[in-house]
This record gives sequence, structure tokens and C-alpha cells, in this order.
Amino acid sequence: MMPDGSYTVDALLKFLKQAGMEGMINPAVARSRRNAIEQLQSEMSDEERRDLRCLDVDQLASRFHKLEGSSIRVEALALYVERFKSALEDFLGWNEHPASFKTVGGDKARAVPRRPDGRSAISQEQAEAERTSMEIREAPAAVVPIALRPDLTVHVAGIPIDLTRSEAERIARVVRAYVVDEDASTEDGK
Amino acid sequence: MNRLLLVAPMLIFGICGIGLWMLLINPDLSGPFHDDLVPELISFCIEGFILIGLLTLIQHSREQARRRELWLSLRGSFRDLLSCLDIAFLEPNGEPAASRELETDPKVIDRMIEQLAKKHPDLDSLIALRREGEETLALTRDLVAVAAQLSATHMNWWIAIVDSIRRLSEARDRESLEHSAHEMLVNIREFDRLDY
Repeated sequence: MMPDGSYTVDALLKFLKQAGMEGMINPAVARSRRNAIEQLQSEMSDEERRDLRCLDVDQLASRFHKLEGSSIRVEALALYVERFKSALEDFLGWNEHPASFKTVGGDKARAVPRRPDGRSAISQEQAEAERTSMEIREAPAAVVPIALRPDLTVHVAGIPIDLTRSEAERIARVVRAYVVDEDASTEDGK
Repeated sequence: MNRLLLVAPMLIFGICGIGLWMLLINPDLSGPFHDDLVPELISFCIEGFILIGLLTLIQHSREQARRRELWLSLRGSFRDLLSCLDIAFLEPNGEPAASRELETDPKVIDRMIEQLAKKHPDLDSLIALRREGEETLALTRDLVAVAAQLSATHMNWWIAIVDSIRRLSEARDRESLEHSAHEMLVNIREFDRLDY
């Protein structure tokens, strides 16, 4: 299969069909992308249909107010947008350099299987890291959570973006001042 | 009670109609009552039976349609939460479930419970789920009054669903998020099992 210089939606769909059949792209990936394009193409303008190089997929997604005859499901729309973008990237790459074409690949697995005995496959460390990550995403940008102990998270607020090393040392010195040194207190007691 | 009130006159009309018909076909009886009044009474019974039956049918179907609308309103209110879970468990290159399926099909819940028992959703999916929980909580809480119109049992299960969505929105780690998501799904399954 060689490019014919066409950048229409039909050419893209044909490319996905052929690429899937010829093994250039995983058939399941090609099928899912074709479906995403079919879902999204209803809102494309004639100009975008004729030349996909002038298409902004995010802008196209913002025009949607209905999907599958129902109100928008943001997650599903985002999934279709992601697949459309990958399809477009592959298509444009193949059109430019068909000989050295290499696909950007399909979706990655979102869920992680549990252990065969049904127990959690997430280690304690990973769970801690996730908890911190969740708190960072949730807290305002200027508040940094630090998971100190399994049951304790401290928050440092107001750290400037351009923090220098010496300023970081100053913060560290203030924090060190709060340390209760167990060895020292035992010696004092003696 | 309402149904009994409508069925009882139907029964009376039916029994009377049959009795009068047997009276009419009895060859031993004759006279003005038998020849003139009995046929009139039989047609009156038939009319009564059909009219009441028709009204019962119309009333029943209207009531059923209204209850279904209520159920759909309730069930559709957490479609986006289910959508988050659907995407979280989506196989690579798989297709997301149809919106209609998420809004109405009880089998979706069973499938999600099964998948939650087998897989951990990734962090992004969990965060999206919690955010959606925060957004859906107020809406589902407002719908308690609608659930109460279906029945007290519907309302109780609805309150349980709202409570699990609240816990989901307040969860701060994977374990509690997964636990409250499971609880929410189980409560929805119980809600779906109720007749409306």
C-alpha cells in the first residue's frame, strides 16, 4: 500500500482498513480508531473532511454536544479524541515517509490485575506514593503534601516556583529545629 | 388497595353477567323479566365489565409509565460515575459501553462488580471517579424525594447509594476508593432488583 497524496477522511479510513489487514497496525487498534473517527466525523466541516492537515481534533471535540444520541460522556469523548489523534499521527507519518512508517501504537492497559487469590496487587510503597500523588493533585498548587508516616501527611505551603538551593536549606534548618532527638533527650535525663 | 377497588367491580359485573346468561339460556324459564329485562341486564354487565377493565388497563399503564420515567431519572443520574468505571476497566482498544446501556441496563453493574474483583483501576481513573463522585453527590441527594415516590424500599436503597457516593467523594486512598466504589455498585444492583 502506497499513499496517493490524498488527505481526506475517506483516505484515512481506507488507510486504517488496509494497514490493519496488512499488519502495519494491530487490527484491533485499527478497528478502534476507525470507530472513533466514525463517531467524531459527523461534526467535521467539509474543509476538514477534504484535508485532515487543517483539522484540530481538540477543537472538533469541543463542537460536540451529543454522542450516540445521548448527552456527552466526557470520558468516552476523550477516548475517541485520543484515538483520532493517534490515527491522524500515523496517517500523516505514513503519507510523508511510507517506507519508514512506524505506528505510534494503541491504547495502554488502564487496569492492573489483582493477585490470583483476589488480594491487592498494589504494594504498600506504591499505595503510599499514590496517596501522595492524589493529595498533590487535589491540593492547591502552592501546598505540597509530604507523606511522613503511614498515617501522617504534612503539608508545606507557599513554596515559590523559583526556590533556590540556599532557600531550601533555610527551610530545612527550620524543620530540623523541630526535631526531638531521642538520644540527646535520654542523655539529658541521665 | 386501588387495584382491589377496580378488580372487585369487575368481578361483580363478571359473575352477575354469567349468572344472568345462564338464566337467559334456561329453557324452563319465561316471562317478561326473563324475556325483556335479563338481556338488558346482561348487556349492562358486559359494558360495565369492559369499561372498568379498560379504565383499569389505562390507569395501570399510565402509572407504570410514570414509575418507569422516575426510575430512569434516578438511574440516569449516576451515568457519569458508571462511565468513569467503564473507561477504567476498558480493555486496550476496546469500545466503551453505550450510554443507553449505562443508563438502563442492570447487567452493566454485575459486569463492573466482577471486574472490580479482578482488577485495580489506575490512579487517573480513581481520581476521575472521585471527582465525578463529588459532582454527582448533590444531584443524587436531591433525588431522594423522587426515589420516595417509587416506594419506601426504593428510598432506603437510594439513601444507601447516596451514602456510598459520599464516601467515594471523601476517599483519600486507593483502598477506600475501591471499597466505596464496590459498595456503590452493590447498592445500585440492589436498587435495580426492586420492581417499579
